Amino acid sequence: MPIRDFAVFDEYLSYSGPFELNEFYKYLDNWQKNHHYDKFEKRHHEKRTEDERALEMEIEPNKHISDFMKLRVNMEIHIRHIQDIKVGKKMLQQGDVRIRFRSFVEKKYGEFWERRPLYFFFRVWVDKFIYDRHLEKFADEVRNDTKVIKEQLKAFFNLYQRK
Amino acid sequence: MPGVDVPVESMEIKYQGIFDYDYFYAEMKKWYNRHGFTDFQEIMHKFKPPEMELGWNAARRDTGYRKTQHNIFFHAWEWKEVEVKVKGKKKKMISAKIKINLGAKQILDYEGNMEKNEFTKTLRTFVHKFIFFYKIFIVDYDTVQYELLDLQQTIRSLLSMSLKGDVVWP
Repeated sequence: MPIRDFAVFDEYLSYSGPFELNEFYKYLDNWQKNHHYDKFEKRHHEKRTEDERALEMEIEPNKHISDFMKLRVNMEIHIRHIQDIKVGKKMLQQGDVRIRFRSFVEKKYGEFWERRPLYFFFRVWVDKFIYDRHLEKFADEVRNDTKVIKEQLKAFFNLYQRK
Repeated sequence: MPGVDVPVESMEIKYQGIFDYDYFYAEMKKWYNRHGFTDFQEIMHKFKPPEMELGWNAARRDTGYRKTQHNIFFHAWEWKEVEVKVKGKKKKMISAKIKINLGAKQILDYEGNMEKNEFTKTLRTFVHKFIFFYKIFIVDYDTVQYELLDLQQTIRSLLSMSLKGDVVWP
């Protein structure tokens, strides 16, 4: 079982107004590519009826650090009350967006270190007191990446309000 | 089943709305043909309106030692035939709630050649862990994961879902 050390836990970004749905998705794609994260979409739900159009997805880009360590940024995106609107010649969408950020360092010690409680204790002890500073660097990196994407998304949404 | 399984992380798609089932089915089959999955089996087909369940297994032999297998599970509720006007023509489509689970794995030593005795089994584990570790768990793992992502994007476009993106290959 992997161990998760959370660097960011439950930070939210909310926005209500016009934006371009596909551009938003492409923006997330590009961010993952530029920051060397592997793309991974855990869940993708869409509801499209006559009265309502809503979208919910969970994306979890990850980055390999070593054989038993990964950085993960978890984003749960809820977009409700999506409506198509026309601004000039362009078709935009309008809706309520809420994004939840969680990021963590995932450690998978592997079979050997989980075989006996004593081995596992040693492994955790070494991580806590010897590799502490080394591991903190990765937590800082994933914390920083989460901050960057949050700020960039804020700027992305604000741009549409100024149009 | 002989061999060692290396599963990748599974994905889920949920959709509620109207879609063209025949087109969806045909395109899925085409996707697998295009990607060289020659061994395509429908392991489950239950249709008791208004509910439908489908199970697909598709396998591709990448090398003599490694093969890729996809396990797709499709479940639909509130299955209803509706008539929709598309470009002025009437067309029969399906309105339903759908849940699709996408899973994939690599199967190493799928013929079980290294399972003859304990020595060859240990040798296989050694080769996987220490010699071809990066090839199996980083390079090939990513390839399988991104191929599954590509399938997910295809399904989303077939269901005419809102978001359209490209798979960013490593």
